[in-house]
Amino acid sequence: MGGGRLRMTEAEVAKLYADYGYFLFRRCHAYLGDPASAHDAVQEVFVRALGNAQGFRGDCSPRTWLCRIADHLCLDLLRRRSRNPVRPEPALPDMELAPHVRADDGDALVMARRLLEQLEPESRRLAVLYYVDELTQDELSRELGVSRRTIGKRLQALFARARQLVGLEEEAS
Amino acid sequence: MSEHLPRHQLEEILADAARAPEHLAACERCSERLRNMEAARAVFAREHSASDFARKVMASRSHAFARTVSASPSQAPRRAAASGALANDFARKVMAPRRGYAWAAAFGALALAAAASLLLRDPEIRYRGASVSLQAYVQAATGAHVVRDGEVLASGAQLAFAYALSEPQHMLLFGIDDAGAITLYFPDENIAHSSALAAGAKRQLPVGIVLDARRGRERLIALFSSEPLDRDAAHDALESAWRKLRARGQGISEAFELDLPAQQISLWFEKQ
Repeated sequence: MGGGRLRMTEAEVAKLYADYGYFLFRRCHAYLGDPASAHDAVQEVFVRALGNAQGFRGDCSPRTWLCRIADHLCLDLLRRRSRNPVRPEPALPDMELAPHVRADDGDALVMARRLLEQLEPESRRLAVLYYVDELTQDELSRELGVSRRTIGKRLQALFARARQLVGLEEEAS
Repeated sequence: MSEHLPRHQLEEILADAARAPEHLAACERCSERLRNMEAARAVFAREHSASDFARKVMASRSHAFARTVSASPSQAPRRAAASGALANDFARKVMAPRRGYAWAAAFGALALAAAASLLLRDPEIRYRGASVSLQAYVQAATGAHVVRDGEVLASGAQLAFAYALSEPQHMLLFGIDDAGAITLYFPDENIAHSSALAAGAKRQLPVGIVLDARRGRERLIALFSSEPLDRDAAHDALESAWRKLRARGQGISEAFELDLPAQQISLWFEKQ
């Protein structure tokens, strides 16, 4: 599964899900904020991957490929939600993750989600890449296709928002 | 960001898509983090069959996904269930009554919730000790809220618990009703074997409670300790405290403390 073109048979979907399903769920949950939507999103990520398996040419890892699909999907969903606001359902989404993240490190996820609630859609992916994936500024620059200087400025804005939210003394690396 | 391995790299390592760098073997922090991630992924895998998932994905290539996911959070679980999507298999399992108790542990289906702002408030249940906190939430018609001491709760109400720890702790969560019946809710052999809880801010206990139809008062008592407490000894201490209460003509709504080396948090409520 490491390189080359993916042949998305049912067995390979199962293998990919076994390898990355939890991480994708965690990621989608960070974006969407509730487990049911996150599970559905993961399923849709694979549906899209299945429909576009020929588009995977091995220039990145399957994880990166799937995460990009998940990012675009979730951002689309969030934009859709923002255009069709619904009465907010009270949620402790980070806590709903507990069975799976109780042994995992959920704090960064909590931070990402709190920020996500406050951010414009275009800034949300940066928050996920930074807080969930823990990409460095150089990696963020490559992934998002903007200069490191721009990344630095955007991160400063994120940190300022984080400090406002929870009083963290975040420091840019 | 740091000299440690970033999460995305650890995920690749876990998926055997990347080789573990030398740093991993030499760094206890990264090694432990990897183990924790692996354990969390294993829990997820147990609850979400990869083969079932693959079958659904293969069958739903033409599925109109937007109809299910773009729904409001409150609609999403119902829609997901109706569409056969992977919605909370886990929840359905744990919501079933167990061991003859009318209470049922529940977690996943507790679409319990509170606005994020609730997390920042002073908790309603307070604790002796600055590094340990616990809140109980109940889902009501108007939304979820923190349960207050002495609150009247309806039969069928779902409780969930959020904890915050400055350092890892062991926790036992007991319930005792006004007839003296004691139930150990956490750890639960079907959900969480270990009493150990990791340090962190505002995590949900992987056990919730659905109130049964029995009316009366009940007290929940959480015991936090750095070393595991003997469950039988804790049970006996609670029983002993109950007998003393009764001898004094007091009820379960009277605060009491167990003679145990543990930080204790308790809350009582009335079921109607």
